[in-house]
Amino acid sequence: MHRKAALLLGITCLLTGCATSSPEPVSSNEARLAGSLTELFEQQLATTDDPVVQDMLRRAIATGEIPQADYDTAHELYARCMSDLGYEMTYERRKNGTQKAIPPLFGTEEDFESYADDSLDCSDQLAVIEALYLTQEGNPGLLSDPTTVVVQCLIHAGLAPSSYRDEDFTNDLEAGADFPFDTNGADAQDCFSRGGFGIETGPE
Amino acid sequence: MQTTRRRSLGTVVLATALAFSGAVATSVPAHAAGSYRLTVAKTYSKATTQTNGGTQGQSHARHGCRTSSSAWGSVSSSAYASCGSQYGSASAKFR
Repeated sequence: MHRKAALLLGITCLLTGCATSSPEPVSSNEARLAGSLTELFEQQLATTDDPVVQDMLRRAIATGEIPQADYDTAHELYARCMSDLGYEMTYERRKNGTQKAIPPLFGTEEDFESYADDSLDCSDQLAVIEALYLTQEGNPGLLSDPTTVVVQCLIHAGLAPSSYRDEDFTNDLEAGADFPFDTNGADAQDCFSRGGFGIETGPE
Repeated sequence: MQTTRRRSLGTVVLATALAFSGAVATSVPAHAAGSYRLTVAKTYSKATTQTNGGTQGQSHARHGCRTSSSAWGSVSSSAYASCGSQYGSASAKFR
């Protein structure tokens, strides 16, 4: 298994109120990630040293898109790696073509942290390809603000009224993911993932 | 409080402090950049990453019976988990 992580950072916190920091400013609703998908592919190719990913990016630059087959190949490498490490993972394909990873229940904090570390180490190919594929499939307008991406999707899917705003989404999430729709439904999960959100809620 | 760890250190940080915050202070490759935010409350856990310059981020959150892992994102990622009233944990990863 290729376990070369360019960068790793992991923090785990326990206790109530463990909260934090000043993230970088969120882009305005009008800002774009780049002029085109191909531009994004080219930018990523310049910073990628994995040969499998390089090949996929070169094909993407030539054709203008990452095919589902290449995403699936990257995901298979991840899934095989995690399986080899002993994880009994479950995957559900989202409407946008990406795979939602469902790990087993973790009994301890250490197990959870090990899972996060191992998931990182198994993502040499998946990290780049998934990020770009998700943008390609879920954010064709290349919007910079992930919340805007989610809200537009929710409205388009009929899950939220047209009056629903970015602030409403943020407020609902901060209020305990108290959304006016089924949070765990396939359509909602699809919309969340398009903006890079993974949201899971269970019984009270 | 800023805490940054590399895997080569073999360190897992278990926080007992009231707050964590952090930014990627050192990175390989040099262009990599990002920041993270972790929140663990009684009713939910949440992790977010924000990245640029070709860095990808992934967020993980665990709370009670739920574990959420975001997809990898080039700009941002966020994981939110809520199940019951137990304390949980959150983790942010970059590459």
